[in-house]
Amino acid sequence: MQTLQQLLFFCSQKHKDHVAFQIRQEKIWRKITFSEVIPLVEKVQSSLVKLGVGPGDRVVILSENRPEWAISYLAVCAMGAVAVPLDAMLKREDIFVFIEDCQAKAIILSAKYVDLVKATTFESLTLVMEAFNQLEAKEIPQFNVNPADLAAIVYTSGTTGNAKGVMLSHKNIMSNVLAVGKLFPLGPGDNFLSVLPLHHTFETTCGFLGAFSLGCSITYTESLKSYVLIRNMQETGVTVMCGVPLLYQLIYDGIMREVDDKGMGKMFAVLLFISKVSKFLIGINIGKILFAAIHKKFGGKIRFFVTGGAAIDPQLIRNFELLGFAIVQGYGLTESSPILTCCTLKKNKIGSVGRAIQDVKIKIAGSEPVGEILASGPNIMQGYYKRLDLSNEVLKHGWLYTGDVGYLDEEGYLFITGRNKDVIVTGAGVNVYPEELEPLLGRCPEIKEACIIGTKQNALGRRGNEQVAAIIVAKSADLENSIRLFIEGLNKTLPEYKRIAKVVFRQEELPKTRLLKVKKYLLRKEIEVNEQ
Amino acid sequence: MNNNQDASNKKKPITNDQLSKEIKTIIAKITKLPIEKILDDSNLFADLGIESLAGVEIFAAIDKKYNLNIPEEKVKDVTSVADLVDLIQIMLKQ
Repeated sequence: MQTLQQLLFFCSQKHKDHVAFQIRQEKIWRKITFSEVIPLVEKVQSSLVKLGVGPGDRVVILSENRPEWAISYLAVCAMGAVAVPLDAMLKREDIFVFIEDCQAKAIILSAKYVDLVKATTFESLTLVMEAFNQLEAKEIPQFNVNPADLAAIVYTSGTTGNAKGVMLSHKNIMSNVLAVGKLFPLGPGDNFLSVLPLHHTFETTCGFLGAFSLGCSITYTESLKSYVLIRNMQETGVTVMCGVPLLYQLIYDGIMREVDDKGMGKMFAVLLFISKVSKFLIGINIGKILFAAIHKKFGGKIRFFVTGGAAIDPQLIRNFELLGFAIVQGYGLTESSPILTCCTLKKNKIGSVGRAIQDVKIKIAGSEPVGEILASGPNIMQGYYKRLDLSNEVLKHGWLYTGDVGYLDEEGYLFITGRNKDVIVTGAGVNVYPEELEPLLGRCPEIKEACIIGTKQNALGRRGNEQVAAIIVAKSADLENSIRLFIEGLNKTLPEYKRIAKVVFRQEELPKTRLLKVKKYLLRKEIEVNEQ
Repeated sequence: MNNNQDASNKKKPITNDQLSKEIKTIIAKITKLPIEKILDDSNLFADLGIESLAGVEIFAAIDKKYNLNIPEEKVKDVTSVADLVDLIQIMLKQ
């Protein structure tokens, strides 16, 4: 199987009456079996053809996580068109930057977002997910899809004139999807809880396509509130979930709060101690037995959790392990569809992001043991859409220059130690690019010079998460308050993850190289030292 | 039975001061921040370092306490503790 079209036909035939997707709507679980997927896909394809969509045309998908998102993605890719999944939480003007950049031919969206296209040229080029059942499947041509064809463009950042869309072919995505199947012993008995936004490639490949390829059910959650997640886990018997470090931290904190509220802190500490000793002395993890009540609360069927998108505190993995829950960590970039390396249940080397997955090669640039991580394999992107300049910066001599820094141990396990690039990665696994925010600060007349960096965040008891910080040199010290007000106003116009969370004023000018590039690593160090 | 108690909670009028105190207690519990650092005009994101996922968790705790169902999309509209108190007052009166 080398195309998403083949994946769709193969899985729909093989798993027939098994539930592929489910979501709770008005207290009832609406289920779609594998055999019901193709008729729905054909309805969408037929309607797209009527809108003039053909092979190679870009179709934007914009909605909350739901079965129709998955149906839309499969429909678009299986007709040789290109899926462009967008973050529905972005502001309207940001969404249109991407819609215009990819020259979308049509948009598939949920009713929640219909207002976005009102009074635009796209108003008549839209399919609404809630109406899928009323669509008709007529005159569907035969679509020939090849592994080298483009399947998706995934935007990782963008402002007007500066959008960065990762081009992934069918072969890119399928190589990663098939590799997921080799990593974990999963099958039709498994049920994935889909919590990460589906436009995030980690969720697209692992939580959706990977699960679909193995005949697993996928449960979409209507909310990320903990009591909703727990209810959904209990009602559907969730076995696997892909998440980001922040989500696991919140889950763990929630467990600890409940233990405290029930006055069971001492008993819990004793059980944790027994779990630790048993693991250390006899090498057996009895957490699942000792903390059976917690497992029951999570539905009693959790097999493991997968984490990615950002660095996780190894201690958090250990804490979960003592409770009898396994968290395996992987690593990758949107540019690699996304998985490059992953730990497994058999060998979960805590602290490492695992070994290279099937067909992927990882090496460290230069001759030192620690250096930039380079990757090659069938999952590496075709380049950035219409941005050969940016593509050439990261794709060189058959290798993807990840911008991350790390080392490989003697067993080939990768450890990440830092990053070359200035990109800020939040605990929720979202990338924030300083070059998008810095021009906005330049609009404040009271600012002499400023730059944006990521600083380690210690709030909420979490380690390792980064937050967006602005380092500012004011034109005079008495202007600091008005600059703060400017930033408050600016934050209101930005999506939550891009907001400036920390403002640091400097009296001296920003340190620069001879080419006048700000030495951000020095500023990061300065802040870390000041905060210690 | 719990639901009935919660439902009666919903009808009880609550002053802004009292609600503000209760909300700060919830935020402090979830963020592990000292309650005295959480002020009415504290910006949830910039001052308290709360990300949207943690914001959703605060909403979940508020839902439970007042038997509400705050739409989680509201996370991006609420900036300060006072905003949150106003939002809950409106929802309690509905």
